[in-house]
Amino acid sequence: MRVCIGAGVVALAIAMSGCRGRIPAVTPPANAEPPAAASPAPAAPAAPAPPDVTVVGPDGHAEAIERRVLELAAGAKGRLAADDVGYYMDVQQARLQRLGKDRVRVVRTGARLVLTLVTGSGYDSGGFRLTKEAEATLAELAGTLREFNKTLVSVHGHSDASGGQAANVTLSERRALEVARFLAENGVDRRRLLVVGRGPLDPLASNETEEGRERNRRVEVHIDPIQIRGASPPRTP
Amino acid sequence: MWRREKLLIGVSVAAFAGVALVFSSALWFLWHDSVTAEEAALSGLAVSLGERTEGVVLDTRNLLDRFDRLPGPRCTRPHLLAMEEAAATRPYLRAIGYWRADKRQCGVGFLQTIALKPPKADRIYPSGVIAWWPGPHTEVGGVPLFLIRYGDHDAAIDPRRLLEIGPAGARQVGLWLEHLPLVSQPERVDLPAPASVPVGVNIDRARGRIVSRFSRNALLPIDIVASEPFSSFWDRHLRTLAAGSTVGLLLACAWLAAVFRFTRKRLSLAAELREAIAHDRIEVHYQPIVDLATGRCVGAEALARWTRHDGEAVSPEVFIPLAEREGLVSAITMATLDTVIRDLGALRAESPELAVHVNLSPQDLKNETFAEALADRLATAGLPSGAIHLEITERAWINSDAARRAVQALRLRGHQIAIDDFGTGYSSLSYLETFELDVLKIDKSFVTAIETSEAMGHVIGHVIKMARSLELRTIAEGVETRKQRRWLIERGVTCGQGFLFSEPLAVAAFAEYVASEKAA
Repeated sequence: MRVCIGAGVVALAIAMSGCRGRIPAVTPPANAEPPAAASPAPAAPAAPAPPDVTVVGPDGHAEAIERRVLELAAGAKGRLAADDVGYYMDVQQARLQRLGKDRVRVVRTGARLVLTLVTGSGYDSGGFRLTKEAEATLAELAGTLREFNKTLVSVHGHSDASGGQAANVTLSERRALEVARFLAENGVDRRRLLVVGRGPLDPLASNETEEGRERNRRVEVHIDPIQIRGASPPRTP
Repeated sequence: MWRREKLLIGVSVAAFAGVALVFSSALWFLWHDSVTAEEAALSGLAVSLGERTEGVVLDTRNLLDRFDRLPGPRCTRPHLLAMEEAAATRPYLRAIGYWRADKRQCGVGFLQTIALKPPKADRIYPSGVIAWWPGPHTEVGGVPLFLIRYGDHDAAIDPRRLLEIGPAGARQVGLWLEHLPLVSQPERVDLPAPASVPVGVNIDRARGRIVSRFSRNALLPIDIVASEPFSSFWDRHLRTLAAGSTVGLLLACAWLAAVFRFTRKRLSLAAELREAIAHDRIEVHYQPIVDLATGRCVGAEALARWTRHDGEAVSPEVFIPLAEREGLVSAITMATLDTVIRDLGALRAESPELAVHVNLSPQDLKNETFAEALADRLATAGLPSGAIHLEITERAWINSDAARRAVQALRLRGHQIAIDDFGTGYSSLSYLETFELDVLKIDKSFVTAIETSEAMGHVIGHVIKMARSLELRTIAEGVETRKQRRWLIERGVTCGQGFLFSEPLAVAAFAEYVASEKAA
């Protein structure tokens, strides 16, 4: 079923809902930082404990992730030795696969794990709030992330291409933020978390069909090992 | 002579072919048997190893899952005891470990202080099971281990325990799980990957070995590759080899002996016949020819007899064809004639009317000097040509103008010509009208048929009538009963020969027979 009300300047894609609806405005939660979507390179929080998860704009997220990994690697919690990265990520991948294919798709690219929260289990229809099923999945995910704590977890929101890009970016960012906050509330260190609103920039499928658009509306969780790249020989396959 | 050589070549070829056939059959049997045994052994091995490996993998997975579900805090005494017990009852388990992320917290077995963290898993199953195949990164104390982790626990399996197949001799065996090498016996041996080996027993000529592969894919793909040098393969199948060779050798010997016997018999029989002719040992027996009506003996048919050194009397049915093949039949005819002419002097002194029938072969008719030679001998002996009647089989001359001319020439010299075995060959009554003949001999088979076949009786009756109209004398052969004799007399047959009157007799006995007939 599709409910489309064209009004205002933004047409918002509701990721992972299976239904698109019009949202009056983006209203950050009361405790949220001002959205940093506009700033291409957000400053790293200087405070001892950042009040909320850092949000990165649609561009420059790769550099932001790289920078945050280096910061964490230099931090007190330490980093993974280059020789351990393979084992660490292998075991973590196996652990995450136990969540089940119908809840999370796990893809490994090099040292990075990309988790896609499966369509239909994300949010209430037309809203931001996570469904019970999604919360259960994310709670288990948080457990694994607590155990495998030498990783950076970036939550990427994606939308389809219907409507304006800026609004889509904002909406996808809000969805990702919701996920990241849930993980933080479940014990994942906020400094390990980054939120990226990619809007329609990384489509998985054609936006011409409803099926394709539905695939494009999604939240991905990228898990990168905390290591100093280049400091030691790269992991041999 | 060329016949002899041809025979020898033929015999040699037959002997060689026979031996080759026997040996190749024996070898094929041997190979087939060995390969079948090998295949059976290896497929059995593949099944048992496959089942064992699958069992171990499944058991390990279930074990690790059970440890994850154990209640209570980790690395406490109950936790460690549970792991200890599991490891103790599974000889292939070298260690069990409990992990938090990439930190081994505690465990049991040989790896108390060693945390094996290979940099790359070989398999991460959707179920969450991770496996590291034996390799440099899983090696402890020189033994590459097979690692499985599921959840918070891992297990190290000694893969050698999966391939316990007893002493393998020179045979090398490798076990592949999921197309990855798991273990081999002996260790670190160079075996071809299963994908490069066809299923079954194969010959690797380049490396002088037999490579076998068997695969099984029940739960997980399992491949067994075995390799061994030809020599040990044959050693293992030596009993079959020995049995096969012995059977082959015996068969070859039997064949050679059979060929040798046959050859010797053929060659020696011909040689013996040649020798018998040269030494004048072809004897002549006389079968009386009797006037059917009166019973008076009017002559005899001369029959060649050959008795070998060992006393075996060779039937004319055997040695006449042999003599024809060997080109000896003219010599036999001449030998017979010489004897007959010699005997006739005395016989005709008592009974001047006696005439002896001598059989001629086609070769005699082709021999242009034959008529002259016969005339010379008769002249020397002072006998008239009427004393010798010549018998010719119809097939000898009916299709040859030269033979017919030779026959006519002999007839003009005064010999009576009898056609022998009339009715058995190309007989046609029209020939009897065409050629000038004197005597028609009715074959024994017809005479025998008189009493058994009415139709045949009609045919003979017709023939006899025809012969009479052509003024041919008729002699019935093989007369054995009075009934036959009566029948023949009734139809006007003049003479007969057969056991009813007398069997063939040596010359002395024949002389006595003639004398007694006269006395009677």
